[in-house]
Amino acid sequence: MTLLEIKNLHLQFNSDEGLALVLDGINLKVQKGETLGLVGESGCGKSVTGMSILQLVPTPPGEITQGEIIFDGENLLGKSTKEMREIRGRKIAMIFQDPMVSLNPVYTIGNQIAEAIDLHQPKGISSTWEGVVDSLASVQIADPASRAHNYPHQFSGGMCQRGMIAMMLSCRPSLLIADEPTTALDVTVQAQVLKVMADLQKELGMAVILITHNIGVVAETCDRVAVMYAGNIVETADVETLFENPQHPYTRGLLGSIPRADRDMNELTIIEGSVPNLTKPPQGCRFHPRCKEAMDICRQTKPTDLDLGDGHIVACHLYG
Amino acid sequence: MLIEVKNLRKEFAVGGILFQAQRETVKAVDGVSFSIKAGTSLGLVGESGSGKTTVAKTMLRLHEPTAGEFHFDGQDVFALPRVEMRKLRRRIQIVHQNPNASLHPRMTVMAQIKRPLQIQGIGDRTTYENQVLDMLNRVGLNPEHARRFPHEFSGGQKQRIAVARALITAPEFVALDEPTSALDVSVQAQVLQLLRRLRSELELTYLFVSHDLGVIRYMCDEVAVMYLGQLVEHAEKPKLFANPLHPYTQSLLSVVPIPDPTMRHRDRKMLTGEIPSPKNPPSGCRFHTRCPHVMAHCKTDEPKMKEVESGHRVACHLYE
Repeated sequence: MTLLEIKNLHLQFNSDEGLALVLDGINLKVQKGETLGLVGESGCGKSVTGMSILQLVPTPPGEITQGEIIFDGENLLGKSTKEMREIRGRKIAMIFQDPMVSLNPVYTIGNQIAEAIDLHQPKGISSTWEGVVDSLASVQIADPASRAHNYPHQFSGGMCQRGMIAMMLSCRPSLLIADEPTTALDVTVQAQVLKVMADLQKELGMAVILITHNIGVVAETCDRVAVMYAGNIVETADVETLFENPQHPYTRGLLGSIPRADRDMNELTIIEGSVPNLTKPPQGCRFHPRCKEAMDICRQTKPTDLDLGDGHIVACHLYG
Repeated sequence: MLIEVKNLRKEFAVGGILFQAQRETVKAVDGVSFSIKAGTSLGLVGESGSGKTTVAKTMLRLHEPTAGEFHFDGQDVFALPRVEMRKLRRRIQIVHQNPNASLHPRMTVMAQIKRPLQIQGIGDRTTYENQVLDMLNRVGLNPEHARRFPHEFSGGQKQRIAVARALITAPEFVALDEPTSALDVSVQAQVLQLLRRLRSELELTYLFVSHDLGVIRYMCDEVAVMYLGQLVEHAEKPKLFANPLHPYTQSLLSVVPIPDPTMRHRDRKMLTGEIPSPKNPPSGCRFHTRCPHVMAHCKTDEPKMKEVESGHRVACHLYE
């Protein structure tokens, strides 16, 4: 069952250098309970996609010019500020890359989680506090009852991120948007946080959009993957298909360019050049200046989404 | 051996801005020894706070060492007086993590790459520019880039400029401190390939500092693993990846995300907790607080680095 559907979303930013077309017609579906990985390099629009779902994109300079975001049958783009506030946290929650920035340094962790619970599910002081301790326990904070009285600076980076997860999940949202949740963490701690997230997701039956640039993390945690490049989703597939049988030249290049820790690699795939400036995006397919297989049509016409079967969608003229 | 580091120590004084008595020392590097053969690369891997960057910076005397020796091609680097040290800098160079911080924002590319030549008195005014243009070509930039300023370049190009500046004096040894951590994977692949090519073309010796085991595996001949200011394991690359001995190395290798969904269900040796503060490191073996194989004497006796087979050293009581 589809929980969230993004249809033809266009978003632009008014910058000093001119109008940047940051999202150029995004189509995306998230099923109930699944983990969707949204991957791509910096500036491809993956974070902004997550933020536009919750309408956290500052307007101005940002502006959604076209499209729909349908969550649970309703278009979020038509909601008022008050209605959005009801949805944020209770139905859709989001965690960010740097927990130290997201948490308020002058309130205790417990206090901040209690605030989230109070706001959405008021149930009296003592049972709220029980909820706080329970949620800290659920993310494997040792000694949660006394740790709840700690301030963020008394927590390590990994514990802060688990605290954020506890806060976000205390209201049992049906969708969690996790924007680079483990990027600031060391690998041994990253493994702990990813495990906590996966266990809780299973328990709550919640869907997750995992926004990351780390292809390894995607392979380990996601059910489906959408690959973004310069404001477009270029390929979507279930995780096994995407890694075994990538179709878009960018996906293939990206997967081949990762130095792997589990095997020796003689050569990495090189994608020449760098990501385009989105105030002057290339005509046609935005990847064509870096594509080894670029044809004439790629320079003129934007490729449309093509379904290769089993939900494997690719936007590339090679298959059109 | 071109590079020999013996028992390197570096302490930093922290805190106590107001009261001397509150001053604490952090042992960032606490007795590290290794050597590097000419023309090979040693990878120094570890989590944040392990001291790997401090090792590189102290070797270059960007920090003055607290104790220990560094012999470069027979010279005792830490004993060199200022003038001699400056002369030696021609032969030992460093590339930092963030080119935005290491490049001068108001100097053209030509001016900043030329600077080391002027300081070291290599060639004369008439040859400087040609040397710079040759070097730009080597790192994959064009002659017209020479007139531009750093802000006009992408991250990958900036790092190429930083590499060009480090190599312009024709050094024999280059310390690379997380040179690709700030870059996207597709650009990282370009820079790694460049660094490998330059190493063989110019017969360079690298100390490659990174937290990314995939990058280390791609770039290095030998790998040394750091934990809380000390080396825990040092081996030739094939030995380390095929047969990691230290429990920390074993865990690190098992939890690093692999970009292959079929590997998702492999055994992982998850660690609990996080790297302790170097202000107050655990007694005995510093890893004992997180070690799954901890024994009674690990808490009291510090393990010594020991060669268990040729080309494979480990500091762990399990192997005594």
